[in-house]
Amino acid sequence: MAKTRKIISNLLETYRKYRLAYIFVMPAVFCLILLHLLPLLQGIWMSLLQMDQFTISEYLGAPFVGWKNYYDVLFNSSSPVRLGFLSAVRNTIFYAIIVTFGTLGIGMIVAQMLNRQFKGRNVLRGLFLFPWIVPTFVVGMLWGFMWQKETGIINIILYDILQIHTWLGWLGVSADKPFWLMGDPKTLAAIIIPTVWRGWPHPMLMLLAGLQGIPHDYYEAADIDGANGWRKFWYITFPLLKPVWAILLLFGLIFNVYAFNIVYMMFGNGAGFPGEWGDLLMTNIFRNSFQRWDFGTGAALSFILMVVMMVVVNFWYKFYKGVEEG
Amino acid sequence: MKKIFRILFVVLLCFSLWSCGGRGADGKIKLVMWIMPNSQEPVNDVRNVLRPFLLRNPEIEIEVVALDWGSAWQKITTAATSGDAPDIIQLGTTWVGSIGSMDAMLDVSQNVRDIGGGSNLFVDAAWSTTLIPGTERIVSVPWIVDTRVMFYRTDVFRRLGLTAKDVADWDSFEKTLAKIKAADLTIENKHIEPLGITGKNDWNVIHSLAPWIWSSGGDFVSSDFKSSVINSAATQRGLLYYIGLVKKGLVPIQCLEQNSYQISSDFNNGVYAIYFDGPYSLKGMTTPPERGGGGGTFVAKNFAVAPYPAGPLGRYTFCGGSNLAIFKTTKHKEAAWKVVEYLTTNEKAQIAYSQMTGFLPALKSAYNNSYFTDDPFRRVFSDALRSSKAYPAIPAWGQMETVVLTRDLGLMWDEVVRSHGDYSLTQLRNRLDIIQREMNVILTEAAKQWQKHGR
Repeated sequence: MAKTRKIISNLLETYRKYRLAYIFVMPAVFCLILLHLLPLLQGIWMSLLQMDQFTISEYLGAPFVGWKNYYDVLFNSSSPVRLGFLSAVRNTIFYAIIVTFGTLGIGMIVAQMLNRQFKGRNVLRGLFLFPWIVPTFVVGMLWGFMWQKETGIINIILYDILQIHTWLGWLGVSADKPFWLMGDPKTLAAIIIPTVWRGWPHPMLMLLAGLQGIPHDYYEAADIDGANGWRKFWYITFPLLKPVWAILLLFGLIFNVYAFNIVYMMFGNGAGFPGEWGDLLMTNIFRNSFQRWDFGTGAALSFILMVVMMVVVNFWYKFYKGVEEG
Repeated sequence: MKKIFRILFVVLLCFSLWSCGGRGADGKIKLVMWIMPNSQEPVNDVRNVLRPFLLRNPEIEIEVVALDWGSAWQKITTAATSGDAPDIIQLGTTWVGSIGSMDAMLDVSQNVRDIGGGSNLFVDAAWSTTLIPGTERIVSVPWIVDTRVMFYRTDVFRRLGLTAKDVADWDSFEKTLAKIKAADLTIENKHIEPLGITGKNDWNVIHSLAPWIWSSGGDFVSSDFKSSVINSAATQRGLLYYIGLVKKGLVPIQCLEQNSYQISSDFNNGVYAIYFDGPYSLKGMTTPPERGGGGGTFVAKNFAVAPYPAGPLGRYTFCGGSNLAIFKTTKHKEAAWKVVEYLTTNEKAQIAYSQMTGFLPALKSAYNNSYFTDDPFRRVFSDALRSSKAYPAIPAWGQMETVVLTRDLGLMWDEVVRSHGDYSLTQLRNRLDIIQREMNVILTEAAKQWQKHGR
């Protein structure tokens, strides 16, 4: 009893001490609960219900089925929610990793270029931002046309202008113009390339800001020591940019695992199926759960994905702490 | 002062709650109607059709809201669960079974009976989509109809001495395509390809295949709607014939990744001698460019329409379109029904809307109007409706169409492309076996749930 009283008095004392801070923080906490925590709890509750087209009108009062939706997602291979699930997981892993590191890599190279003084630098910086301001829906739709076999600009450039079929012929590869969107591994490249094209300006901007924050003295000292460009990058730029890298890595992975728009739009503006090498987790969940009005399994799948992402974020946090301490 | 504010607040609250009830300050009944983009100016066109009705019923006011097909699915679900729904809604015919099973739509069986409605009033295939098989509850009324016919180039046919009879059945159709290919024609600087079809990246994946399946005696589900029959020998025959046209080079293989708009536009630009499309494309090709149409082109002056070629077991075409339904939550059932009744059963309204959108009327009597009888192309469409078929309006259809059929038949086209023309019967059979298994899982589960929760 005395212990409880002590805890309460401590809490009250802390409140009195930081009262103003708590009052200021209160609206944000309230919004967080209202807009984030409650829908999350509602989602978890939905994942335990049989909420489909027959019971949707009962909404949160739909029949309680416990772990059935989780069982269907994880173990019931004949469940419609599992159609193409494994290939979607495989594609998402490839997609998220390649896009995240691809955007970071290109972003870093361009940021290094723009970090030098030259005429027209500001104009170039503005121009480089162009892909990033194109909405993802538009990117998907445009690249859907660009990848087409005969009329798409990509095959026209590669085969009609650059004549790469002559090179490919020497290598023994088929000299025909390829289909990019017809469900073989090339489809994965066809969804990754536009995403990297659209996404790299963001890390470029962040890394450029990071580069401009590195004192120039370090590089001058390295010059005196006779370090070459690569060494300067590896021993000065890279370690000092690690906090920026780490944040971009986290944002990139989360954003790309949850990617939807570009892939959804690229195959007949949302009408077609992306194929075994084009379907991602989000397009898969959207089709198998929400387009089937099976909100219960959709919620279960989303919750499982959220837990997986929490594990990824936890690993990242340990890495980030290491970076900070370093 | 505080007291005044409190009173003002209560008064405002009462006013806002009162207007939510669906009556405006002027005492008019306010109805909200959700439609899809059926034409270039969807909202204005519906308003124009409704004008005579509103003049006769000044107590009714209608707010028309245009959704897009992509988001409509989600919005209808939200409306069904939240109760914050419009009064009237346009439903695609393939959605009626699924949305009807949600118990969100008003039963209008009695209203339809009162106007003497039924299969005698509406196009047969459209009427079959108004209620869930096995129930007597009509939840929607046919409004507009979409069916498919063959569009062909008369100049190409003339040059090669061909007529519509040469595309009357599967055998002659294939021979005609081969003849066009062999002729290796170039007209108006365009090399003529025999046939344009869509493959996987399109919303018509199933609609394009269905006529070939039906015409060979195949189907998607059994007559009792309990199991899938998609792997039947008849279905295999129909699909193999259609795929065979690609394998034989009568269809340029790049078509298989293009959508309906591209094929339609390529036909109008002179690329294809033949393709299949709906009545809206007829409207597009006969509307002058200054009114937003594609008329005036070389092809628009040199085309005609014909029915689908007859298969070994008959001639069938796909029938789609949209019905009108009333949400159960409406506070103005009578007024909402009046609007639905006017739009679906008034001959003038049906023809006017058909003229605006290109879609066909659902009302049978509209086809006796000179707009249809005097135009040879529209006559082909109205004749095609007699041999048209709609998908069954069963609760499981929506799920099967999106998750299984679009996906798996898309995968079928992927395999056709990857096989480089060697796509075999075994490959098709394996694909259809997978589709059948997946369809059966959905059919069984949906039937179980429908029995349990169906109202």
